[in-house]
Amino acid sequence: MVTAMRTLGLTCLLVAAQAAPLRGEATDPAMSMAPAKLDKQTCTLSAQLASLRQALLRGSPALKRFLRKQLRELAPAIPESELRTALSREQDPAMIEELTGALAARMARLNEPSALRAPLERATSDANPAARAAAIRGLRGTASVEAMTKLGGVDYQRLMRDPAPAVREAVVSNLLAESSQVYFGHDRAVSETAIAVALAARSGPAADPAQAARLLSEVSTESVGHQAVEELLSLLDGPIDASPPVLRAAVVTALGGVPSTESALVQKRLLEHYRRDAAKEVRRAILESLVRLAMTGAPPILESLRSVDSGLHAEIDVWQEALRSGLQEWSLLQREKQRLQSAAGDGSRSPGSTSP
Amino acid sequence: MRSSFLTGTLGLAALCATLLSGASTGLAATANGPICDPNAKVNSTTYYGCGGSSHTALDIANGTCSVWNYRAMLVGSFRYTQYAGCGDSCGSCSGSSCCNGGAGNYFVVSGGSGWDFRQLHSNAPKGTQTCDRCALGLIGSTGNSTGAHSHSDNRQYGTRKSAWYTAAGTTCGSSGNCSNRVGVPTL
Repeated sequence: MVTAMRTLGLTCLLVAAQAAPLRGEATDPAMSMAPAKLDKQTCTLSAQLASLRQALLRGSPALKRFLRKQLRELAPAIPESELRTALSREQDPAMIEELTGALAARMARLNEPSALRAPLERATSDANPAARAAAIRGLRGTASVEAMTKLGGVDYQRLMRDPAPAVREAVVSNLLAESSQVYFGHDRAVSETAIAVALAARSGPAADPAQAARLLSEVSTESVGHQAVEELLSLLDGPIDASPPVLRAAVVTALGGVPSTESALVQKRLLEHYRRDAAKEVRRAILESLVRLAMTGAPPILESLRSVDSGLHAEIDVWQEALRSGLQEWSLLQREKQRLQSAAGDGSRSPGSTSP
Repeated sequence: MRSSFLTGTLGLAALCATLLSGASTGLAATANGPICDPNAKVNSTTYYGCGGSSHTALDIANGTCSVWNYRAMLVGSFRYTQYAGCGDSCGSCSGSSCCNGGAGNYFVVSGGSGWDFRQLHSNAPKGTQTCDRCALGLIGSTGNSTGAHSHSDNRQYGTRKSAWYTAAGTTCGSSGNCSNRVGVPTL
């Protein structure tokens, strides 16, 4: 508590110093040379939250960013019970996100998964969908999947079944941020959770194919296990029109990033699917995934598909040219392909190449 | 106990460092010092002792061993993968035959495109963790080390880079305190 008060004391000093010029107290040039008057204040979490609330309503972007980060930095020194109580009383979604973020910061700094109990309770039980979404957004950029596993009870699959689109959007954004910014795509648990969430979003009363497609097309699958690969492959089975082309293309994109141990199996299935699925965006995604999986071995595979769809000759040509550059890293090869396509005036996307 | 107190009271300075660094790009992280002690100083950068043979990393020490927490340096949540198996040491060992090829007990944050950030020579390593500036172990001298210190480097495909700390103005004598930004590694 002493630590918390000392820290908050410093906070008040800075906020007071920052606030003085905003109030326009020093209009006289001579007066402006004098140091800003600093009043002694007793600092509390409620005062800190009041400053943040004001800033979120009327502050500059820099002040908002400062106070948001400040609360997260101070969170480890503020008793968890105070943060929990403040969260339970809060009704403004913007502040709910900040208080959830503060509790998530405590979790990350002090290794306290239990700090997420209150935010998860809010995310599952609040009657206001905006509040539920805000409680989820506050967890962004932390190891929330791992914490939820340790806590049990609530997971992202459950949250994805929320009837509110804003909540589902928050779930997908959290998973993508966690995969790319916390783990740089290397974590198996987060990737497999993302796949499970996407599968859950395909059907049911809260189906959200657009968010499922977004998740699958952007999440890293470089560390997933065989079972997850089989689940993705199973989505290619069955009637073609059971899911929209954008979702089928996203599944194909996710399959393009699987570990090398799964490459042969996935390549075989993608080649079969190329002949079955006539949607241009799906076929384009298959070409890309085949290149990603086979890299320098891709040219003969691409040539074997040339006779299937004359409308994608240009796409195959540009991939072949990109592969001749000899680039060894997928991100560079992909960028080279985009550069070539752009230089050619995007000729591969000829009229009539849209999805059926 | 001392370190947790200082972490709390000096957190605001770390915050200011974070805000100045623009660390939210997703490619560049902010690295603060690994020891929450005002006595922690940088004593090697591009060259050992700033005048010896090539080093291209930061060594930070406060003259103690197995006393102070060895903190994760990156501001924000990251996965610190542990490579351990070395017995605690406050002594000296020379060469790559020292434990773990000279790295001792160490932690790696693996980024994209071959980038990583490593922290070496820990005593009492606590295991792989995903956390924000948590305690990874204690400042020690495991591996190729002549005294207790923290070695940190930022590499791409195994090649050490210097821009991450030179861009932050960190040199020998700079503060290695956990409230002070010592670099902006790429991940």
